[in-house]
Amino acid sequence: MSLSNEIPNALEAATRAAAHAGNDTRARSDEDQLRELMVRYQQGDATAVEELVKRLSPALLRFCSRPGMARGDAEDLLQDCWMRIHRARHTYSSSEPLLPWIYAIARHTRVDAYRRRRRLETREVLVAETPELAQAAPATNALNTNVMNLVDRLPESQREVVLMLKVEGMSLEEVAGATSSTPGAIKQKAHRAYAALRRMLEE
Amino acid sequence: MKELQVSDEKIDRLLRATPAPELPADLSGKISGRLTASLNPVKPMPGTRVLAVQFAAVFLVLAMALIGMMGITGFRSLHFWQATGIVAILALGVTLLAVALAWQIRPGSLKKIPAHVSWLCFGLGFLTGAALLFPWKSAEGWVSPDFVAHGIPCLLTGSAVAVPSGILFWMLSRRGIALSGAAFGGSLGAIAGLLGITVLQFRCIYQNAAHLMVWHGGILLVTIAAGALLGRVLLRNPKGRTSEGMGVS
Repeated sequence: MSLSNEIPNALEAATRAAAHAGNDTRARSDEDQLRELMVRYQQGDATAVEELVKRLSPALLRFCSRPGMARGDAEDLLQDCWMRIHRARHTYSSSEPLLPWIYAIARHTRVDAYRRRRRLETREVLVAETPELAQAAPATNALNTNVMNLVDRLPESQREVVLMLKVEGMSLEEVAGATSSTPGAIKQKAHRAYAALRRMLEE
Repeated sequence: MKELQVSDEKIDRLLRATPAPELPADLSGKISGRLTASLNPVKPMPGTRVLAVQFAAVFLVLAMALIGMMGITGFRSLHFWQATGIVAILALGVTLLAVALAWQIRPGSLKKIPAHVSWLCFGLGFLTGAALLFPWKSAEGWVSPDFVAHGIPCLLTGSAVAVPSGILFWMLSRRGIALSGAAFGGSLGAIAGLLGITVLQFRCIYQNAAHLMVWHGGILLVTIAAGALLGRVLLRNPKGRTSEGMGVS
């Protein structure tokens, strides 16, 4: 490889490293802000509640939604999730990160709803019209939408790992805490999820 | 020309660039409204370490009371290294299982080890300790004709000690919220079973490896299984004291 190619490659690598460092700093700052809001929530501050709901609800709505789920059901699930967070708010410790705590409760809400739906499915009556399905936000380009659609096709255990690890930017340990698993198991699921996504993208 | 494989970095970038779904304008306000309607200051639960210390302290008090009541006949017959070794194993077991129980009642805990691994670790530690520290040959020989007759009362006594102590630990744990019924119930069963084993270790006169491993170790198996099953059946929804019950006066 000639010198003229090496310099741009090195610059690109340095730019990527700097962007990563910047992302890490911003992520830590976001995490600190969320922890502070949660502590104020525990102290009974209504504005902190509103701010937390506004900041976390879009990601929680995506996490709680399942492919093919009606929009209304997804929003009901989100509300259920917040009520459980509200009832459990005394169990959060400010010395630990907030997102694993939030997502552990959200995950359990989703699993409970899935079990309830399975029990009700035998009693459901088919309707003539299909209800409006929960839609992702319009993506900046078609490829973004495609990737999220593909993520929705993954097995649930892989989908939740991808959302928490790659979209929310949580660490392996934090995702393990949220899913009552181990970092090794999370790493394996992420690896399998990415292999599946790669296969689907290349089709 | 063959297309290049899609890289993980590219998938990462695509995922991070995808915006989250938009909420309807009124939904956020509706959710906030519901939460603030019952908003009051709450006292946060103590940290995991403090909870674990509290569980261990209660264990110690219960153990001392029960050992005082039931006697130390068996313990008096032990050699120094047997006594030291088995007490060390039981103490480590209390530490491990108290921490495991504390992890279970705090959602999203950064658990270093899963619940079932903590049960397995203690179980294997106890069995190994019993196998190495205690003789395999009893007073009646290698195989005692009364092995079962001597063992059943121990199993029943240990389990009987475990039931009320399990209920007590459950009442203490209700400060938190357990998301997994089986893991929570099993952890309660484990620490309650450990209390049964501890009391028997001081009382039981059959201090040989086979008896300890099968009948005392068997208590742990019974209490963990019963706890996990009860937890799974009874705790279908997250149970514990809600924040409304933990308000600051």
